[in-house]
Amino acid sequence: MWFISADDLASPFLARTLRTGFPRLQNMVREAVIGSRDDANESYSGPEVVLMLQSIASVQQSR
Amino acid sequence: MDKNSEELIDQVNHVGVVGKKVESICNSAKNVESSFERLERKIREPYDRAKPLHTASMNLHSTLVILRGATRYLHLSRRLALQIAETSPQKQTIDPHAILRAAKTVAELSLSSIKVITDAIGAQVLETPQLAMLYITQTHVSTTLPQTIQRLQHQASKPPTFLMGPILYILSPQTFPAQIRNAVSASAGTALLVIQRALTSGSMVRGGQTRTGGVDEARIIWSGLERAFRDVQREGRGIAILENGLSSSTEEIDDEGDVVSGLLELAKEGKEGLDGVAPTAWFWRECASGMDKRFRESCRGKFECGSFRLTT
Repeated sequence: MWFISADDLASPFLARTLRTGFPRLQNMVREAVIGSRDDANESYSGPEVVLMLQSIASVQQSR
Repeated sequence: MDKNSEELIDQVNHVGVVGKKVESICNSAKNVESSFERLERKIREPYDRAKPLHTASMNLHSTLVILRGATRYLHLSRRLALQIAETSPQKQTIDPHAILRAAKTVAELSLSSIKVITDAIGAQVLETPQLAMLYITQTHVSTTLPQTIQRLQHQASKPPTFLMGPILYILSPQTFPAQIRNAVSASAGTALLVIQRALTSGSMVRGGQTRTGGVDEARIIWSGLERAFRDVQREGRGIAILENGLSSSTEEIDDEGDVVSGLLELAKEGKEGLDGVAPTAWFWRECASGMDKRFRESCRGKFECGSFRLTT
């Protein structure tokens, strides 16, 4: 069996990949929230969209 | 005699008075005796004749109660068995209406009136051990029924449907808010698990390769995240459907016949419920909080964790 170490989880490569592709990540988050609603509207920016976008904010702050 | 003549005359007179009194007492006694005979004829003898009939009547009544209860129980059990067959896990798709129908029958079987009957059966079985077969009702109530309830609760939640809320409420009104909360939290947990997997997918492919990553690793990470967010969307959609079902229910009547508020309000405000927020708000709050933690861990951020509040 193969285990993932803490080093593997916190990969500089992963952080860099997420940071450079941050707009893509934001879109994914936004689409997931909006797509889950009955009234799927691309311009929707309710509190759950804001909250979920905040949840990935650490990606941008990481160096 | 000459000396005591007066005394003797008094005594004779006294005897005469006593005699008259005795005669009147005898008459009264005869009256009492005839009254007693009349009472015995009119009350006691009919009572003695009626007593065994009354006992037989009472036994017949008990038998009728048991038979009526057993018949009702058998009828409901048979109906439930047919309804359960409609919700067989072997079926590819299960109609939530079938689960709702089965839930309603379970609720009828769990009613206090049925419990009274099963208790009466239990008492009768103690008196008449030959009726021990009737204990099957108790066994059914205490073991089979809870298992059926658990199965229906699970089926109603996977995947969430418009009828999930009403089904959970019918099956267990007391634990309804906690059940909704557990279902929403479980859904958020599933969403977070797929995100976690996507974030570790790069390191999985990296195993035995370079520490610097590469095009393959980036591709794996992004395709994993795309899949993961589709799953998050599906979980969120399920919770939105659940919430719509809760919103459309108006008022329910509880076991005591009291009117309770709509199911959405009950899920939000009830004991061990959603702490005043709607299911979707609870879901996204848990997702956001969990995702924040996972992304921070993945990027090894050194800043303080924010708190997430969503109160819509």
